[in-house]
Amino acid sequence: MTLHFFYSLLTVVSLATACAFLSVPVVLRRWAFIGEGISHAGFGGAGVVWLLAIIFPGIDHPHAVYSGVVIGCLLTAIGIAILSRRERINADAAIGIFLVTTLALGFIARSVYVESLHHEPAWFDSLLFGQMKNLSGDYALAACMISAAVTITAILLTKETIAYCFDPITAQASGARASLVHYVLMVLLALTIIIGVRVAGSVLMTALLVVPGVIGTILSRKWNVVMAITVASSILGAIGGLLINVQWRVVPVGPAIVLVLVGQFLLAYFTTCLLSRRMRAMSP
Amino acid sequence: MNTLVDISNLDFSYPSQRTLTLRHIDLRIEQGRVLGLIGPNGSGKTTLIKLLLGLLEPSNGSIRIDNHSPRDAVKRGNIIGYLPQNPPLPVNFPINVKQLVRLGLTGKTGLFRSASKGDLAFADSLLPRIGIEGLAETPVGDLSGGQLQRVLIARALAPRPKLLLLDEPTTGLDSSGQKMFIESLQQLRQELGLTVVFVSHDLRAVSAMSDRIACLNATLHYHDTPDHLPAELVYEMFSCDLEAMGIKGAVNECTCDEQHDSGTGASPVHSRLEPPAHGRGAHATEGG
Repeated sequence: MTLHFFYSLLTVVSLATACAFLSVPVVLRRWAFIGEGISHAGFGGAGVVWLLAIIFPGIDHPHAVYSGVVIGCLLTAIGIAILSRRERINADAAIGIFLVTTLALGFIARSVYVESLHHEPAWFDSLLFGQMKNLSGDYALAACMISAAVTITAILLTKETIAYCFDPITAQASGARASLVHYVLMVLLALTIIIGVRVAGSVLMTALLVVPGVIGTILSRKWNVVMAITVASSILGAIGGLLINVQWRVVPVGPAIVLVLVGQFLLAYFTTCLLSRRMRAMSP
Repeated sequence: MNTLVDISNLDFSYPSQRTLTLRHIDLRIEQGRVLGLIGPNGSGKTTLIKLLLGLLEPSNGSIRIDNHSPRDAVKRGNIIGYLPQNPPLPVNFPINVKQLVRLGLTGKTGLFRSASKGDLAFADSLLPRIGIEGLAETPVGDLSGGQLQRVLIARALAPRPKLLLLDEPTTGLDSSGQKMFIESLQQLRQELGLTVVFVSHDLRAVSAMSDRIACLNATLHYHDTPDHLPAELVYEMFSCDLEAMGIKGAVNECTCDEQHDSGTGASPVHSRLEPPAHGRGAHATEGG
């Protein structure tokens, strides 16, 4: 096992674990669109850095661009959280507004950058489609730490998260700190997406946040079992995707992970359909 | 008797509206009483509930619940229990009935803590009391509307609240479901010494279990026992007379519109119902 493979493995397993713990709330709150919104905000954040790099060439560096991604994702997550918490705009509309605004900003910035400096800006392709090349040990360690923080927070807030997902208004009315859970979930999503855009790209990040939770909820109706299935399927998808990439270099890691997850979903879906049909046939 | 809820000189308007949704509301509810809050659609019933829950802030006036502001009362987790008007339909939500009832303890328990054994035992003891002990392990997605309503009542009661707010609790229940619901609620109320605010535009359900009725239509028009509810006020508010709504003995299944069209002859006279000349709402105290 090479050092690069070890770093890649550590990063994708960390990402898969963090995604799994957020996936069930994302599915139950119908926030499937949220990964798109926040990850594309990273594209807008990078766009701001690309524009600044035209004026200040000193910041034209991948680290500066990644800082733009981090800030863009966090600010957008908080913006979506505030807008969707108020009843005047629903979550989907709030996410849609941020998504198109940040995408437009990113594409304009890229176009101005190419026109001015005659080459593609740093991280452009990686941000859209993910990139595992040149993954450093520091990045893998950061991914591991962020994943641990997301996982521990999600576990500590389990009962509040269940109450919030079932009915946010009643949770708030019973003193269950629903507002806190709402904002914490958004920040955890942003942190997870910050790791994820490097691996899967902003285009496919949603799949990692949605598919494992869907698999868990169609296979069981017990919270702990759903969480266990979700974590297992997410990690299986991540390792499977990485191994496919090792075997066939032409297949990028992000899309490979998504395909393995979708394969698991289809298997789970048709298995439950078959089982429920048999149960119906057996019942008098 | 102690006053549990004290609403004083309350005005409220939504930011997008120029007119007051609620104006000059003065209302006191004594401990252990059941107040039926009635009024037509858009009269401000649910807004008043949201104010009691601290989800909205009054434009003027004050609300005290057990000597706390609504927000403080909600934060404590064991003063107010709440049943929402449109509870979610939990299809595929991965918890069972017992877990859903225990969710009612979340606010009382607080962050990063587990519920005490006593609280868990009390929450579990609510299942047989409301007749759903056999459903403890049933996924919540498998419940009928009436069963879910009972489970949500149990969730609201799990933290042993002093005040139970029920927002249109009988909506969607058939007549036998309503009867069962009211009977079990009456029993629980007596056992637990609850104070209940029962919001509905179903006068039959309200009058069946309330000690007092408050008629709300932006301001408070009436506050007294159900027996003294003036027919004229009901006619004015609901375009329907008391007999048509099954109160005062007569049971008639016709709808309000039918009754109105047939010309019951009730005139919208409301001399004792008007707010006083200076424009203030009735200052109502639970004691009468």
